[in-house]
Amino acid sequence: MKVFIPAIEGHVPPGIVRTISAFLDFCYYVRRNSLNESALESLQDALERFHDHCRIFQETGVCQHGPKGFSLPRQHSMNHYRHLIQEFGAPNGLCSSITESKHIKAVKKPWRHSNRFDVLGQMLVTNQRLDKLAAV
Amino acid sequence: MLQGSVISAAMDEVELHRKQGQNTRNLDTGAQRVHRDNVSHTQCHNGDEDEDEDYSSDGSDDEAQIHNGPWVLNYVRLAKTPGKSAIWWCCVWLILSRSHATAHKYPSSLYALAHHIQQPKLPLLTRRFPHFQLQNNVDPSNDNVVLPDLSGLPFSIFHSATSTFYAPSNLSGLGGMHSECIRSTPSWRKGPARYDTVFLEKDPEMPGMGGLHVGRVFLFFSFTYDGIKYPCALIQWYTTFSDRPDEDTRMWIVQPDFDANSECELEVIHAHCILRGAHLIPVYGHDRLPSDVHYTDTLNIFRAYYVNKYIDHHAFEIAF
Repeated sequence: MKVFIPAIEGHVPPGIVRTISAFLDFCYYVRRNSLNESALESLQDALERFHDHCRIFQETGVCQHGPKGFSLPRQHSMNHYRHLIQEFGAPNGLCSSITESKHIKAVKKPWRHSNRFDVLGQMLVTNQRLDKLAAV
Repeated sequence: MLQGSVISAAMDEVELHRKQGQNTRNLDTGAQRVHRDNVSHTQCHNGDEDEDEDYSSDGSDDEAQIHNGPWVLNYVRLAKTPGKSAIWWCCVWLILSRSHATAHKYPSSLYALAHHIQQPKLPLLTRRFPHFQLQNNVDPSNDNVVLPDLSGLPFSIFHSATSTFYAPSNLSGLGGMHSECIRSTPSWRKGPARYDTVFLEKDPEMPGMGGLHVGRVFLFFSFTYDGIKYPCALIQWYTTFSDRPDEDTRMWIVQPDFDANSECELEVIHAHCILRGAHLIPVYGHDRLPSDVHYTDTLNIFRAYYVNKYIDHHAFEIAF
């Protein structure tokens, strides 16, 4: 990520470079430990640039048009960052992958503990008991 | 043009008070002179001689590290020129560390040193430096001025400098301080030379790259002139390609400066003008690179470089 843009520059259409540059700008703004009004404006600007330029992927045929086009939850969630930062403060490095690692503890392991019959109830009880043990 | 900044003076004052005022020299010839005196009293940590070898085993984390120092933004006021000050959003001070300079057997006199490192312009540039530090308004390139004679003074050579700055978005200590090492050494880990590039303060009030210079350090050295110790750096300048970042990549493009004889445009500056290390990445162009290009030559063979603001979060905050 740190050296990606100079590496691809000149080898892919300029629109792709602009898309990735706007996306990186967005990521780096969001990562700041504090965001003021001008940083939020820049954040919004980067987001608009990203959505503007990313159409190159549809024009070149990498991605389809219409409802089968971009359907990426994390990229969609970028739209909500500005409002949520204003509501709750800077994410300051919080990673949206955090749910992925939690999934193992909260879903996969309780599932293995179960006897596969009426699984949901057993998993909930397991989680409840583990939480109580952790709180002790 | 470039002088040391007040934070370095403040740090030096603290250090000096700790050492009970050794080597201090009280000047009472007006506030401006006192300011300059403060700027110039720096502490080169010569005591660390044996722990900072260029190929030391702690190399894995020596480039950048968290710094557990206090958060100093609140009291830091930086100024480039006397009488003008502005709050800068980070604090920087530089510690030159002597890295087995004795092993390299650098000559201590200026002219022998210039011969040793093959920089024939070094004596002239160095003699202009204290002249300019003491008399702000004189153009240092003016040939009519009488430059001080530094031939008899002992010079100390350093292979690295540590820059510490406020970067809470990077890996940092409790106070948000982050420190990194800037190298300028003729042989890095027994291999080829390594001369790092740095950001230099131009104008703290200008946002982004407008307030910064980019330079490449070819030598860290210090000398004492007229009772004042000057930590210096021999810099090659880089100038921006245009007055705005590149349209596509939104990164600034810089080019190394060369004079009429196509030699590097060099200058000796106060080491405290250095803000932090910079990452330059070449503008590779459309063609394939020859396979025999070695990465250690990267900063020597390309014509233009991107100032990589994506290298860390602090760089993104200063070099936009």
